[in-house]
Amino acid sequence: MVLPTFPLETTTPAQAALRDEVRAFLAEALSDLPARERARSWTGFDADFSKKLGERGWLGMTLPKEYGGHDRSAVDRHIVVEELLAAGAPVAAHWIADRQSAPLILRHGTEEQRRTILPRIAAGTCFFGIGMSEANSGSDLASARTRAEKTADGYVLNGTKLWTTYGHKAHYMIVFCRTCQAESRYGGFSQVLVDMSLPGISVSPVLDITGEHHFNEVSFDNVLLPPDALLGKEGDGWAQVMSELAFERSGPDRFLSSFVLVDELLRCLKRMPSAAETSDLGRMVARLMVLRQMSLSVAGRLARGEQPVLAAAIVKDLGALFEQDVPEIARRILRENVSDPEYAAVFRRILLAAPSFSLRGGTREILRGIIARGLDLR
Amino acid sequence: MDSSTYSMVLETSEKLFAGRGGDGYDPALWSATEEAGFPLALLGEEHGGFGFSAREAFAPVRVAAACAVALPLGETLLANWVLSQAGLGSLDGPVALAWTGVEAVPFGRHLRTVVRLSELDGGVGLSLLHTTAGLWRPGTNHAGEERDILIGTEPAAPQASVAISPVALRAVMSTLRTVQMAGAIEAVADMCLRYCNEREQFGRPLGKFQAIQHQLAILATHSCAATVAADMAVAAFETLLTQREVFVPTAAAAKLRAAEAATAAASIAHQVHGAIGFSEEYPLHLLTRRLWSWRDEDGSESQWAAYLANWAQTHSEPGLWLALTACDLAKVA
Repeated sequence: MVLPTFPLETTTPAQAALRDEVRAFLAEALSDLPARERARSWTGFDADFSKKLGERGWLGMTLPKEYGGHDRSAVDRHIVVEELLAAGAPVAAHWIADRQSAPLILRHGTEEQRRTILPRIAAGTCFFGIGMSEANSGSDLASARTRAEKTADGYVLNGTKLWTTYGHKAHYMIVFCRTCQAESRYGGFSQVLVDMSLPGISVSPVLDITGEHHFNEVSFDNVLLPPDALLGKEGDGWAQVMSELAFERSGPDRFLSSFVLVDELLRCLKRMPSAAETSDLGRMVARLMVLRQMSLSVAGRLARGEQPVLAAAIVKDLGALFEQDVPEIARRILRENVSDPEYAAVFRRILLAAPSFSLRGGTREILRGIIARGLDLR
Repeated sequence: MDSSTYSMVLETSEKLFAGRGGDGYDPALWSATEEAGFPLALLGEEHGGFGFSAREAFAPVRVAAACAVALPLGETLLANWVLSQAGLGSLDGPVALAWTGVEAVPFGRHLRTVVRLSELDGGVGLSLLHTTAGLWRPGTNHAGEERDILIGTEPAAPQASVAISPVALRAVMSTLRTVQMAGAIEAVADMCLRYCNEREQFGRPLGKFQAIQHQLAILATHSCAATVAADMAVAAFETLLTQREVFVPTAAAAKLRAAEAATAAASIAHQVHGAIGFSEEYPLHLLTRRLWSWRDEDGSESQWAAYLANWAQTHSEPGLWLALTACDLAKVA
């Protein structure tokens, strides 16, 4: 059988204590944050909060100590991330940096990049944007046209990236771009580390369907990059970006985006639910319980140094379906509770965010293509 | 967990059950299964078992389901476990547990003994009934597996009891179905992949069509979820006697999730197979008809959903999240 395995993870006493510690911290730190703000999940931005997490050692957890990290396992990190998301903590500031940029720099960066940047990520003071999609290059990332020309002094970067979440607050962007011509459509790509304070970069907002500003269009107009801006090897960009996506796809952020609504739904559901409602509610809880164990299992495989690309794609596909079903289940159950203003605000925020759940980090269709390829279909 | 024991159990089971699938109870296969010791696998060595972990003990059940064999293996496994919890010795099979006054008994007419269960305060009462063919009104589930009704017997006073709550014992019995569904769904996925690689239409294998690929991808996600669900329930079963508050919600969630996966898997499997999968000659229905039955046996989907919804509501203060994480399995030192 070619299906991936999901060995169950068990929790050590130290991990249970870590969970309690994070939970106690959050109970205090978020005591004034209303549910409607918590409902932003990992798009809620609070630089001070990120700094506090850094002070507690809960960022850059899996990085080596010599780079400011904490030498913790991927499972420990998973536990912290789960608690943050379940509580609706505002984690957006450090999110990209901690989740995918830091592991990428650790694996492919120069010693200088590791020494200067990783400690700041672990401290929660250095934020990153993702530089993958472009206007004409979404799911088909290999059609990206942003280009870094090699010169005597380094590179000259030209092109435009799109959908860069919090690009307007990022200190760095890791930009996927062409650096040379190649025969294969996946060849000739590299990743470059771009300091967002360099001249020639312009960031303009792209509002989402709620009218809010998270996304940006980031244009590079003859931006001069030093030679050491190259991240990893020239021409290896495609393989690197795929492994970056494996980090982006595997975490609890792929099934907990609407958890605050689950909580609010239960808070407001004071009466005995009808048979149809318990059926919806019970199934929802069942899916969540199994998803948690699947995602934890992927963390365990990451902790053992594996690259569970297929398993991660499966969790993300199931997770996005779950996250998107939550508002639909909630509206079938709590028809009368639109009068509770907090519930109504949470519901609207998650309803309107839901379409993005199966787009960001790889669309549902791309994921299913990855899964099908993993099934050995000839 | 000793993974070499687990692989050995899998291998032995596959050797025993592969190619033996069908609708009818097979007495010769049952004898071979008893000889292998599988029906006693949940017992400690002192009770005639092997001291297997629950994962190892349930492995033959999963394989038997994947091979679509009609045997009361899981039923006998659980009955012997319950007997040992009550301090009674194991019985020669087949044996099954049956709640007094309720529903059909799996493989009733083939059983030597029925362990009749009655709800007591803080436990479950057991009374043994040695059966004969005349005691049964025959019936079957959707898969043609015997589900017979016990007739003409009065409920007897319990001869023994176990200190396991009725709902926990129901959850144990439902775990059998969860494990079976996980095994059968994986076999369904396997069958679909093989078929879609072989069958050609419009000049290429079905598996080359994106529409089919996406259906198979969905099937794979459900198979993985069902397997994790079964693993969760079986691992939690291990802690049933020490951490009761963990086992029942875990088993309920697992049964529900596996049932959801069963529905999706059967639907996709028949769709990608086309007409041949709907024929008696093709073995797909041996798996899908069982999946349709097991979804609702030992607690229907709606019953377990109601249980879990109630559990979630009860824990809404101080929060569902606390209750969910409290179900995480602790590492055994």
